[in-house]
Amino acid sequence: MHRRHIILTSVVAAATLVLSACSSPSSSPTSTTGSSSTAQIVIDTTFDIKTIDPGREYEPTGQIVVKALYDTLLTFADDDTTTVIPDLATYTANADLTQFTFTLAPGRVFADGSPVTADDVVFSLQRLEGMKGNPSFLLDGVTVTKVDDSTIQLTTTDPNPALPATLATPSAGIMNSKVVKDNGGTTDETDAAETFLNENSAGSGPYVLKTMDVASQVVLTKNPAYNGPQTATYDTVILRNVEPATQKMNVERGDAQIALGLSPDQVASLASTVKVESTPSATVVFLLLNADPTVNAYTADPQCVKAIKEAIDYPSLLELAGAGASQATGLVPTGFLGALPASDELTFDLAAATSNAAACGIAGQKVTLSFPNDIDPTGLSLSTLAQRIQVQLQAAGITVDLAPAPFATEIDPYRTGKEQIGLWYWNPDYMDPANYLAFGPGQSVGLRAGWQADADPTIADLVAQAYTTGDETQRQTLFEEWGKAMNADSPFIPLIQPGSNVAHQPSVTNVYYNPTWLINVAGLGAA
Amino acid sequence: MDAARPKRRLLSRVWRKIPPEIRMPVGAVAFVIALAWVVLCVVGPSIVPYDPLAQTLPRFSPPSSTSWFGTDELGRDLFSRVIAGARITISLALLLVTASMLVGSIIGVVAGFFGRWVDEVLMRVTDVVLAFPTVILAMVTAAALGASLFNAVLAALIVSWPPYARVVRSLVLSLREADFVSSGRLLGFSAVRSMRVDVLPNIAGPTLVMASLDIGNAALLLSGLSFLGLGAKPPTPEWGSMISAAVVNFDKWWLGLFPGLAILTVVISFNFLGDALRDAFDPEAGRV
Repeated sequence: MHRRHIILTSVVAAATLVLSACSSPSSSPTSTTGSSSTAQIVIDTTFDIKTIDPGREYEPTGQIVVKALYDTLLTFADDDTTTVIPDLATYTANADLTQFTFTLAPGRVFADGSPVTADDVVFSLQRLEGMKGNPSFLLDGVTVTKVDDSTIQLTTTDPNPALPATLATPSAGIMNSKVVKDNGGTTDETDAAETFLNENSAGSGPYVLKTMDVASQVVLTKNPAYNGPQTATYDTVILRNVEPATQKMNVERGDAQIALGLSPDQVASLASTVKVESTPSATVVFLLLNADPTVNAYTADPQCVKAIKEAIDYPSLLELAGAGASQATGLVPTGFLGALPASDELTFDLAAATSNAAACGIAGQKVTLSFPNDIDPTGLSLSTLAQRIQVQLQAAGITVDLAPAPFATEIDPYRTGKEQIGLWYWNPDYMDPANYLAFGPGQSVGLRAGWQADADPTIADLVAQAYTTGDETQRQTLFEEWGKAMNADSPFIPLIQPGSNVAHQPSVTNVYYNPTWLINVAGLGAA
Repeated sequence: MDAARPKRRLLSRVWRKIPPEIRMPVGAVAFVIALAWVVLCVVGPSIVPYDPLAQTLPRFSPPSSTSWFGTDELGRDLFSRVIAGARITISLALLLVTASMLVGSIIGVVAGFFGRWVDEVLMRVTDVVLAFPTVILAMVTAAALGASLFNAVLAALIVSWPPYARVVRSLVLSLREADFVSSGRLLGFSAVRSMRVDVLPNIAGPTLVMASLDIGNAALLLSGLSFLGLGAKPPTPEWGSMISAAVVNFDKWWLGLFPGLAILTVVISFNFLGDALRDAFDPEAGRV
């Protein structure tokens, strides 16, 4: 008996290894009521939801939900990220871009019927800023004051051309201040409304929260009191946490109408009955080479940095990234003001790389390439990418040891600037190129590469100018100049701007990917 | 010369008793497969058609006459990787089993031979380790040590020595009271000599059989740790990590199937072989 038991266990265990791909964490087989119905829509994605309190959430899945539940003062149309349009308010700004005045649209109401007032706006924005949650940095240095019942003024210490775009982020959603205060809400760190907001919504958005389980699914229903500019088509929206492999089967079979988490390779092999919207995402995958000689003498040597930039065969990396992806022309992704044209992108030159690598002494040395191996920005596996980079650098004589680690472990050496070479990605915090100035010398991300403020005075000066210049044309020129200088001299190598692929049933229309909130469920239509 | 004699006796006993057993179909097939894997383990890397790390082929091509098992997400030949993986998985499994056998036997012999408080302390430690679920404890240890093949073996060692300690201790307990051991002690043998001459040769057989049964499990545990990202690092062609990479592309069936079959055949063949060895060598144990 004992012997059989061991063998049986081994067989079952081995089979489990082989078949583990078929399992799904989702145990909620929510069936649909026919593909052309507008009663409900099922959206499959891979959850990274922690909370749906607007002032606390800053994860992609949370943004989808919060976008549907809460209106913001300003917003973007469809997949646009460059022109803010009014939602709850219209705005004017002074010439210095330090004072922004918002006028509320008349008549807008929360889901409980009470009107949206200036007090609600002041409370919501002050709460976002004062709670010191993940998205609080969005309003750093901003003072929110009420002028009258329908007018609010935002004042910034420095000129802030990025503020309107920041206010379109779902985290800046306007909440019903009375309801939130009644449930423990305050505008500082003593706030205790998170539990309430994870079970109830308190917004004026097109949907209200029915149920939420951070591990399996979120259910939204239409807000009958909604009187804003959007027209929600589906009565119920079900957002489910599903393994990517299962998402593919679900959307092919019609068990789900939309799949958000497919890898580029899965998209390439989708059944022809499924439609795919492929657009460049706002994510940029990059390498950082530590400029601190105490971390690694070779990555800190500009000639070695040049060798590595030349040793990477960018088109060959792109092959791994699939539909909608493109080589990153610079750190600022296309679609943003100041993004560089393709003619400025880094190029592959093996001969130059080999001679530079030999000259700077990195050839024959071992350098460590660290990366998180449990997260895939828009479905692109960093582990796959790192293995391709390893082979390419080897061809130029640069030996790289791969050091994968879970995100939670690797984020610390990354943030403290301890990685020799790091493979990471950047999702914009808000839709303005100013966000990317963090890569400059002495700035927050620059320091992760050991790049001190005095390391490159020219670039540091461009960063300072770009932060405070308000004029569109001047901004564009400055950002382009900064981008070119970064490509040439920074310790960062922009690699790939992955595509974002939304697979959906043909019955669903108006499917737009917007990097700010991934998908606006209220904007979806039915054929 | 005392030590050499029992070893020869052991080998001859195995030699005498194994052949009829391996003539039995299951045992024979298992033996052939296990032997084939061991041979591949030695000569594999020099006979594979492609460099297992070279990314020169088209990505995701299904099995064909040019690449028998197809290619993976980076355009590497899967056949070459599976064969190259044998050396890693099997040799590490053998290393792990040998190490756990040594550690477990030493602890078991010391506990059984000296008894009293030494026995109490060592066996309670063994109980503590046994009380934890094997895979979970190995995962926690490997995660704490950091992902690498060496650390995976170390983590697996921490969970796999206790069964050896238990079995060896019980064997030693029964031997300790045996007349020939007592006689040796009366003749003035030191504890070490008594263990070496009288005890060890008599526990070697059952322990080796137990170890042979354990090779498959060891391979499975190590692959499992790599599957979870706690063992081999990319681009090492380790079977568990190959399956792990196949999970996201499981509609490309060949990516997971062949490494999976490799693990399956190694685990089953070594288990059957271990069984055949036990039946031949230690018929008593079969009835437990």
